[in-house]
Amino acid sequence: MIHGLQKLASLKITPVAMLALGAGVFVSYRSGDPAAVWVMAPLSVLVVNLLCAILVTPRFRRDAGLLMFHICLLAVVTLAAYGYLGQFRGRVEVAVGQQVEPDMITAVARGVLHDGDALHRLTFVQETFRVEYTQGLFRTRTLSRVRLAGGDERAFGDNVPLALRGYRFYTSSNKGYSALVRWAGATGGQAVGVVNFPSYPMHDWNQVSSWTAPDGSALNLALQLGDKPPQDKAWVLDSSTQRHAQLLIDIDGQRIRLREGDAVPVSDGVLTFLETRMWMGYTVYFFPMLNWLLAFSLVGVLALGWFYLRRFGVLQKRPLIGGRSAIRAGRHVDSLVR
Amino acid sequence: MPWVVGGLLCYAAGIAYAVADTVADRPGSRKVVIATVCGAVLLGVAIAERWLRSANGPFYTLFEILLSSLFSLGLMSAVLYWVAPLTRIGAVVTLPVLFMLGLWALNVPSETSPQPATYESVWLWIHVGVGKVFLGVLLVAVGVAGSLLLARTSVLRNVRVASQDALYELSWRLVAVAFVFHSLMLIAGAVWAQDAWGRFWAWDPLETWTLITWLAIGAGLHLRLAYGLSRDYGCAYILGVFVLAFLTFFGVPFSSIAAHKGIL
Repeated sequence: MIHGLQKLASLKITPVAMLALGAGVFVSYRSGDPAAVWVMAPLSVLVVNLLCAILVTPRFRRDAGLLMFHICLLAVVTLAAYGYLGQFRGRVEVAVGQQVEPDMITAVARGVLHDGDALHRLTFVQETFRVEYTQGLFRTRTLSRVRLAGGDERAFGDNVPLALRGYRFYTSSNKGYSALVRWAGATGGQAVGVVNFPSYPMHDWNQVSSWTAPDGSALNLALQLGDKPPQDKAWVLDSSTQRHAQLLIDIDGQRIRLREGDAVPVSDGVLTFLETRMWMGYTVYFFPMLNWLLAFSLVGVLALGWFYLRRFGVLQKRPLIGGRSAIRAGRHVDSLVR
Repeated sequence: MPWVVGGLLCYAAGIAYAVADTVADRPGSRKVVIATVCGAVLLGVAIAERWLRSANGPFYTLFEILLSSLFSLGLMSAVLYWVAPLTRIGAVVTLPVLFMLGLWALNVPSETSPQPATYESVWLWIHVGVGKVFLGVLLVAVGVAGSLLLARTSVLRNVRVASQDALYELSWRLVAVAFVFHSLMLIAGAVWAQDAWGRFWAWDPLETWTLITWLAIGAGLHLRLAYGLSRDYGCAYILGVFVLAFLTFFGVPFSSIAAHKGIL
């Protein structure tokens, strides 16, 4: 048993597996699949090699710093693997005044261990937001204000996310205008919907979208905003600045222009353009044990630094790498590093 | 720009002193250190002047990154030349690398550019700071390793056989120190990426190549222990790692539109 562990713990395996992992990372990067066998195989070998080495290698027991670094390395790999299995990444677009609902969140990546019910506990109402641009329409600061379920308000943006029950909402570059519409069916049904148009000002030339009415009919819509954002001076996109756009709707090959408050008959009902609003796009991120991952990483590196400080004799007040007299003499230099 | 040219002239003077020391068969003199310090100071002034003018730190454009690297690598080299005079023997290798980096900087557009709001983070400072220390220490290690390889060609005749073992050991110690700072750079970068882009790791080109560099350094440290790399192979390995790190720092960010630039 011990003999087998010692074989698996061989230091000769470690650099070969590390180089294989480096090559695997390169191959996977080129193929676009980070979980490919090229990565997982050498990583598994390294984990087994390290685990066995921690168990049976006397060197680790002699030096706490080295042992701590390698234990932390193992913990980081384990936590990263667990995190990927429990992670959630998604995006959501919320119009001003709208409340986030779980079915509005589009999942981009979801680990097999992720608790889908947790999304139902995430809710807030979008208040205002503001995005600053320099000359040439270069986006700089973003500030978003939201109201939480308990009534508290939060302001966040850019480097500071909104943290809700372990999930983080980051403001994204996606934001734009939306049309608030009401559909009233001929048989009495009624629904209010928000139609988000493409990100603004990036797609200011292409403000088109579609909306499916409750009766199942698809409507092609376009938003006409008028002025374009200025390129020659600084500019602010502010959701609290009211803008009155016109909504263009294609019905039976004919384009109809609606102002706010206007209504138009559509297949089985009447569509009313209520008002122009803005929407903000967020990326949603959840990674379990993220703080522990950081803690183990930091402790591991600090332990490695401690190990080298002791190993190189800095803490023992011995000269590390020579002195002026040594180099002048041009000799004894080899003894100084032993 | 005059400050940049002045800094490069100081580095050129450092090269001249290093070559003169080599030709005269004597160990690295204090003049090399002084020239390197002067170069770093002048480049530091160039960065400060540009910073005051544009209100942006040297983090974003290729010119800014080259300029800050010229300063930080020169400063790190000078500090190590001062505290560990044995490393001065590598100046004949490291200072020409810095000088060529400077010539590159003089030939790229130097216009300022606004930075995304995600660059306003203390973690960016930490990430970049420890990254510069990593590359600076590795550069000095390469200088020592390179001088050992040059000794094989009788260019550096003053590297006596007795001191070669010490220099070889020294070069790997510097690589070990660089490895610690590289690890810190990865951690600080992950924290910054989490804040800036909402994920700590996304296999973007720069992250991927940085991980490959980290693995290459780690493998090198283990190779030496497990297989007892000969001096020539060990020195060549250090040079290879530096080339990898150099391409990661100065090649990948500017050959990919997505690498660490955020999505505007």
